[in-house]
Amino acid sequence: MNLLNAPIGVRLKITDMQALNTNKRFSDMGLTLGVIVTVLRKAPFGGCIEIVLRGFRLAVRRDTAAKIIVKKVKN
Amino acid sequence: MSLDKKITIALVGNPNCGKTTAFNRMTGTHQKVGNWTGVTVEKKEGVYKKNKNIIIVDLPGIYSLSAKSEDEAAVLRFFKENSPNVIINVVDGTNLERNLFLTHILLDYKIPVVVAVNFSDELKKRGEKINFTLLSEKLGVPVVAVSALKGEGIDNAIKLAVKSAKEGVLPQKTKYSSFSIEEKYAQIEKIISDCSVRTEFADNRTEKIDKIALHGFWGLIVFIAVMTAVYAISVKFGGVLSGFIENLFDFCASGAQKFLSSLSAPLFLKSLSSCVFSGLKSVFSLLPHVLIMFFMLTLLEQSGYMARVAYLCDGLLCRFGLGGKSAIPMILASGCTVTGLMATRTIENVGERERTITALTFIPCGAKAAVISYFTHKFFGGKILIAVSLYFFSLIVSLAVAKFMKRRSKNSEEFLIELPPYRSPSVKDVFFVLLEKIKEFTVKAGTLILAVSVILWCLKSFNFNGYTEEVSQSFLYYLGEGLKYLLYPVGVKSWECAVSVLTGMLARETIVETLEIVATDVSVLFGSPFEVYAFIVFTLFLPPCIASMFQLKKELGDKRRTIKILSIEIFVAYFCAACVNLIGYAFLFCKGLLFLPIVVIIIALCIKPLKKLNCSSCGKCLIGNKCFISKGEKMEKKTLYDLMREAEVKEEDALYLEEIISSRKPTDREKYFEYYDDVKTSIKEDW
Repeated sequence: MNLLNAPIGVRLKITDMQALNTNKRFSDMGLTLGVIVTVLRKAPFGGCIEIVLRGFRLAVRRDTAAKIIVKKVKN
Repeated sequence: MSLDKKITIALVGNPNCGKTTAFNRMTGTHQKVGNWTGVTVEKKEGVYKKNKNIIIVDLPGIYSLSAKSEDEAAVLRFFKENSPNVIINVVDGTNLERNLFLTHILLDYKIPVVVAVNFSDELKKRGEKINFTLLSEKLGVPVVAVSALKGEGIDNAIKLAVKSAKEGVLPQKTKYSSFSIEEKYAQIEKIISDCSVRTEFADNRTEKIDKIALHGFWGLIVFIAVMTAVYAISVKFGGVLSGFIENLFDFCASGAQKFLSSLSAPLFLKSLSSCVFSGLKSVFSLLPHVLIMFFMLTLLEQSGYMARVAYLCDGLLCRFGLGGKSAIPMILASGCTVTGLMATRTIENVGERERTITALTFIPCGAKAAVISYFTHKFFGGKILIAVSLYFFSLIVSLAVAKFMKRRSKNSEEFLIELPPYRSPSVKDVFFVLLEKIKEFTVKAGTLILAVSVILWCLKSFNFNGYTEEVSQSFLYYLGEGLKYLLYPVGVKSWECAVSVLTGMLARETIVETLEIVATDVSVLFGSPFEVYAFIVFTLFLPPCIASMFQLKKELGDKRRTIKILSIEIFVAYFCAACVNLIGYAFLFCKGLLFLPIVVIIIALCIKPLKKLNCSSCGKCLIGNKCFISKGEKMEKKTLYDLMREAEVKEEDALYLEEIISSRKPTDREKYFEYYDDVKTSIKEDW
């Protein structure tokens, strides 16, 4: 499952981000392997998706989100 | 505090951490804003209010120091070249986890660091407690709580910074440098859980606002309402104020005229003075618009709404090779291109920024709107449909140009922006921004605009025999005569129009003025309504005014790209106008019979080149439309483009590969994958 088709409001764990071209920039922003993220909402017209991680919000483009592989975390 | 030598303090921190507010608190009005050499990153330098020997530099907001972006490179270069005595690392206390990551990176540089935890008042309100002594112990550097908005703790932070600069205490814990990013974050998580008492807290206010502001439907309504309000206020108040300024300049101009005639000065002096005043007037009448627009935009920016606009618009603009952050500049450009150009600074991606800049120069600004309304009233009986069609035409062209430029650069851009929590903006900070804008404008008007108006005046009032009153005997007339033939395809048949295009380069609305002055009867200048339409289109797509051209140069920072964008504009203007004119001729010539097929052919010719290279399915590979990687698969399977990047294929080699690929053009899915593996191995082997 990737970040794009992940359900909204569920705690997710990032397991793979190999497909990203600018991997370093993402991890600098706190999007590291194993971090817990939650999808908050999706913008209209195929726009960004809003995620929350480490207590702050990020907007990520859909094709970028599709390259981030995640897994559900049991509460 | 008595100091023998000067101390340089560098302010470093994440974007939105309140760094600039802190800087304004420290320096008051003693600040200088400029650009870092060669890049468009803003450089702010100031002197500490209470001690002239302490220099404070506000560095751009960054997340890391890997020199990936212009901002980061600028900070790194500053460390290397200016070697500041001490760093004050401003940290957002409400978001310690990510902010402390930058702190960990800063600890690796051999510069003393003081950590200033900002928003301490907000933390208190939330009931969150941070053990600053423990945090300082864990980080190995002094930590101080500040509230930049209220000015609490600022002096304390500087005192500590000066102390560590004098003692030269370097950060102890250099063991972090060997850590990977994940390990650094894990370390930070541990420090935070040790040092802070976090009550289970959710940012309710931000979430509540976002529920509406980022809603799929209501979000758009809010966005439209906010933008309309910004626009209406700036047009309404700006209009009143600029009318006032125009009157002021007119008054000064007539005063100067009277003064000159009382001295019985020669005629040419009078005409020169009126020319200079009208040049200055055209720039200063823009000032209120720009100021009010910037006032409101800075408010929106500081409140955190701007990032939301980018979030909302990204999906739509992405299709045209623009991004979410292009939305604001594009909207602003419909008021004034210069404002729009200034607002592009927030776009980090260089290519995207260049595309936004190019696209927004095609959006009709206020001055162009005046031209549109003049011509529609004069030649089309004020039909609103004509004006609206011109607006749509320019919008389509602007997006098409952006799309076209995107097609040529094949980089796929990964996009992420932070959506900061909503905060009430500080009026003081906005005031600083406005002060800066006024300075910038005055300098520009005093130098460039003045020079250009004098040159234009010389052309207008001299010929080979010396001074002349009549425009139809001046150099300008000869220029117009020459230009007439060059501009024939775009509907220009008289020297008056050609001259108006020339003077229109100064400011778009001058076209109207010039035509009224030099032509005896404007309505006989054009042969057919199509010629009029072509002429409007031509003037609409040309660079808006001299001020915007200089701004363009300033924003892009180098001549080559400026010339490139200007030539794109001129080419597009010429091309579109010629097309309109041609269609008009075809229509008149064939009496409408063959009209439709010709239009269809022209449109088809225009669309075809737009639909080439980029693959429609994965959007990246070089197969063009023949790529068979479906939307689901593309995530697992790397595209050819990715492979080439990984193998570091050089550009000429990539072109060669592209040639092979296009010559083989796989026709079905199976063959495609066979061929895909083929190319994959060949890439791995050869490069």
